[in-house]
Amino acid sequence: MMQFLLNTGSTIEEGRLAKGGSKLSVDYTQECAVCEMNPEDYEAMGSPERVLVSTPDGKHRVAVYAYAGPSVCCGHIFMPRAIWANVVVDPETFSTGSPLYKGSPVMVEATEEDVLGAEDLVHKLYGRGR
Amino acid sequence: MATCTGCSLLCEDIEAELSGGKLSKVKNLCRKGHGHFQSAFSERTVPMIDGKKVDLDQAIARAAEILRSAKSPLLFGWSNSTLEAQNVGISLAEKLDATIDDTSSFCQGILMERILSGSIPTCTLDDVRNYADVSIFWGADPSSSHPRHLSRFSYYPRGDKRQKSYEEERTCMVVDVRMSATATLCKDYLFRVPPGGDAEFIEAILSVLEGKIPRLGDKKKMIELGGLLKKAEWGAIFPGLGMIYSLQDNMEVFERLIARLNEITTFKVIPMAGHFNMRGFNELLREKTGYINRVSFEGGAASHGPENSVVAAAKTCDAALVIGSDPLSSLPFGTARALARLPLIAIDPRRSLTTDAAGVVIPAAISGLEAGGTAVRMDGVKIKFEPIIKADLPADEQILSRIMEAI
Repeated sequence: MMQFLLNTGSTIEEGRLAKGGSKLSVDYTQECAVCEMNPEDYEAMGSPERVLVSTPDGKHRVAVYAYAGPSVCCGHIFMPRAIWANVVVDPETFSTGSPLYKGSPVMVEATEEDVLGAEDLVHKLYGRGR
Repeated sequence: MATCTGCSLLCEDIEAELSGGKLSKVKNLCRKGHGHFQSAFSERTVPMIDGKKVDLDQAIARAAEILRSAKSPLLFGWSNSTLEAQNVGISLAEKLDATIDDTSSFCQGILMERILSGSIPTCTLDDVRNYADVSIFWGADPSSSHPRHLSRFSYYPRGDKRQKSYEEERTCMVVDVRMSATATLCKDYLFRVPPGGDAEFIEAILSVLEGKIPRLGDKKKMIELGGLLKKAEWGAIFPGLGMIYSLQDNMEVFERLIARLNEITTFKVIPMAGHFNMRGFNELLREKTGYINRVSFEGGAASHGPENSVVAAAKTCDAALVIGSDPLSSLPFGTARALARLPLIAIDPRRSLTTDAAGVVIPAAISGLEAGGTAVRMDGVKIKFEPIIKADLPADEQILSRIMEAI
């Protein structure tokens, strides 16, 4: 298990699918339930197909697809801003009223866990869904 | 011509035919806008109470009942609604003594406040197209979030004073923690900062502008940046969430940088608002209460503070109305779960995790496609649009008016 800094943000496909009303689709899961890692970090982790991203206290965790991408520095990961990333974004606002969507420390490890779609993830987290 | 409400650029030059359940003959839409227009035909909501289909009147009556009986309701969303709907929404909040907040609360609010109060100089995107020779995307990735920003305004177009444009006259720079899609367009001018390192980066720029050797980062590159900033004739900075989350309540350091740059040359700032009418809500609420977001009308007077932010209020309110927003997807898990456990009313044209969790769902017409109205572009320009499809669904404004009448 390794510690990283999580950066979340837009991708154009996330925008296209979200604006297109497809947030509950398989395409959206494939675009957003992902974790981009620096190629060196990815290799050091054994080039896993999926990783488990968790909060440092281990209370919240989410399985996502992993891939090596050149855009992020070593020690950082990038996840599109969507429900998967928000499972591990710290809701603490330190009296600013805004959570830390960029720069949250997270733990990452290879996993065999399945990547859940948005509805299944909500069902698992809240015990409710459609 | 249609107006795209897919983001806060509000592109007014869209040609599209939407008929027979299909989008055809499209001109000028970006990929995001294309998705937005196609959404007229996918995952539309229907009126529901507790997961069962009902008629619209029943859903509105139930929403009114929930809000009437709540002691401290929260009204949240607003950035994807027209000014007309926002106006009714603020009146509804006043009538209910409710808390009202929008997405700027965890987005561009902290900077927008300074833009609207005049403490940071701003301009229109048309000014950028006509005059800017330097555009800086700071913690922003418009190629992903506002795909036509560079082609309509900030890099590629020919403007009154910039006929040679990007080939000779414009420089585009990126300050980011990663090589974003926008950064790939101007790799030589990517200035990487570590997460949370923007304040130190700004201090280093200020040192360079004073002719000192910066203590931070690649000294040669920082000196090069200082030179480019000093040589700029007319610069524009577009801060995105990367900068906002990094600086948080330390925005004063950015104000100092802009003040210093304007002693040397001209630099303007336009916040990269995400949703199509976030700025409109901020302007309207400010006009009515003096605050741009996070307002509570409890006790009859407007009060403001982080305790009224959606993130805090989700845990203290006893009912919530969410309009044109999907906080269950976009807020951190702890906050989203608190909202999901409340009596929740969702007004939205499209199905989402929030409409799935809501006890009451009220379908609305899509602004710009099925409903007309007015919105404020990210740079403060007011844009009026007409619907391009005839739909039987009520607009947000009509739904809110009916809820208000029923309370």
